[in-house]
Amino acid sequence: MLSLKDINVSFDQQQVLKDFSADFNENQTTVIVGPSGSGKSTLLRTINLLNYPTSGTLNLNQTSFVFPKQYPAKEVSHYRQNFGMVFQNFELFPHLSALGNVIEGPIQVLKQSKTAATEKAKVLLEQVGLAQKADSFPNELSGGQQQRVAIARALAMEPEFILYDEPTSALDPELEGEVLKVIKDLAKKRNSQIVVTHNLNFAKEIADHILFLEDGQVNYYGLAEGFFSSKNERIKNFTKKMMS
Amino acid sequence: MDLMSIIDMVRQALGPIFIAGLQVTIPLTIVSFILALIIAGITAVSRISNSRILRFVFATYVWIFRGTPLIVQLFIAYFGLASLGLTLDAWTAAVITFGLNSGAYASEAIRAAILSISNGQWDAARSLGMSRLKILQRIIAPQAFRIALPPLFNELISLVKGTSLAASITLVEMFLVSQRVAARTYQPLIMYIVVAFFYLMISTILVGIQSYLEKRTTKHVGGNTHA
Ligand SMILES: Nc1ncnc2c1ncn2[C@@H]1O[C@H](COP(=O)(O)OP(=O)(O)O)[C@@H](O)[C@H]1O
Ligand SMILES: [Mg+2]
Repeated sequence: MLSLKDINVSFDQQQVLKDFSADFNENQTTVIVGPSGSGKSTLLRTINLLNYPTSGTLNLNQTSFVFPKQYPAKEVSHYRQNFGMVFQNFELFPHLSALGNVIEGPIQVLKQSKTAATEKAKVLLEQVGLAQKADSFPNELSGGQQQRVAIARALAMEPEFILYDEPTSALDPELEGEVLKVIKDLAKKRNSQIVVTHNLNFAKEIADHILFLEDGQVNYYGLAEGFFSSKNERIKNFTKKMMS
Repeated sequence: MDLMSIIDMVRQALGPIFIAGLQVTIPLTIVSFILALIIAGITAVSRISNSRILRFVFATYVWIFRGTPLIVQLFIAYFGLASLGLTLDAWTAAVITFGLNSGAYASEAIRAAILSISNGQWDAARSLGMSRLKILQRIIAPQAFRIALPPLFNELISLVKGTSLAASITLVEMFLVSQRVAARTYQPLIMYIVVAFFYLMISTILVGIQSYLEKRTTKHVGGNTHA
């Protein structure tokens, strides 16, 4: 289980996450929703320690971080291997082919042999429907294809959790579906996923749990059904606005 | 003075200048530039490190070597240090000075290139669990190399020309040879045009190498010139 307790994150004077606490279970898909600027990206980045909390504790299985203590870079890098991250802008490595992107982590970080990593990467590319594109470079791929490579890259590290930060919001609507389908398949296979999205219809389809973040604080965290049938005014307003 | 004797004189000057180029100017440039690149890489990475001391030390180095004339640096290395009992031969003094001087400029090109790579690339690499050094080496350097290529070639070309200053510390490179021939033949105009032509040739070849490398590396990184 991934557990955040009383996490505070600030930029300059602005406090973005305020005593944030939540537990995330394995083999589930949790969708994080909330208005722009509510701290969704910051939350995902904090989970992966790309942002550093000013206070609070972070627990994943046996690993525990208590802030504001500074931890050695090595320990942080090691912890990050537990998470695969999928970014809004894909962030594929432009100098590497699709295959090169997928095997980079396994070879450089997990010290897998090139043969083993390549073999596995091919299976993953196949899984995201891009077996034919293994040798293409990012600038030769559409946005939807790039994002699917990015998902394969994240999966290749065999992380505990995959974190998605608005994975389709940089995509043209007609390319959205192919990426959503991959995420949905992974949800069905009971991968552990945390997904930030503005697409509430999609959230409805894949979410076991919904976390509704407002102004750096948890407004709702519970079963997806409960969220969509909530009588809470704030939630009703939000869902109405987002689904219209 | 007739055309034939001019041609004859040029022909006689070509050999010695060419040899000086082959034996001194070109090797001096290559060795100095390799040294400069090593220094520049270390400097650029240190200047974006978290260590204040490292940043300060290397910023100071760049400040000094960019802020003082190259010829003064050469004189300090060759004549100045000798007065302290640290005698360097002209070749060593030149390599060290050119290496440090070019390294300061090249480090700025490399640093700017590194900084131009988006934070998202760092984040993506970090989230794979890569260490800072690994990220620099595997993700940032290949992209930064492409971006730094044009300014680095600028630096290399000015280094080629800058090696002519080594004449002033007795290194027998192309320019010093041309001075000697000019003094002997009383034909400064012709001799200096000849040596200028040699520098121009070397620079032209470098420009060719630059555009070859740019074409090869632009394929997928940055720019939009891929076929
Ligand atoms: N690196 C940063 N530096 C300064 N402010 C930031 C940074 N990242 C996020 N913020 C601020 O934190 C707040 C929450 O941002 P973010 O987590 O991106 O929200 P969301 O993803 O929900 O739209 C915003 O006000 C944003 O301006
Ligand atoms: Mg965001």
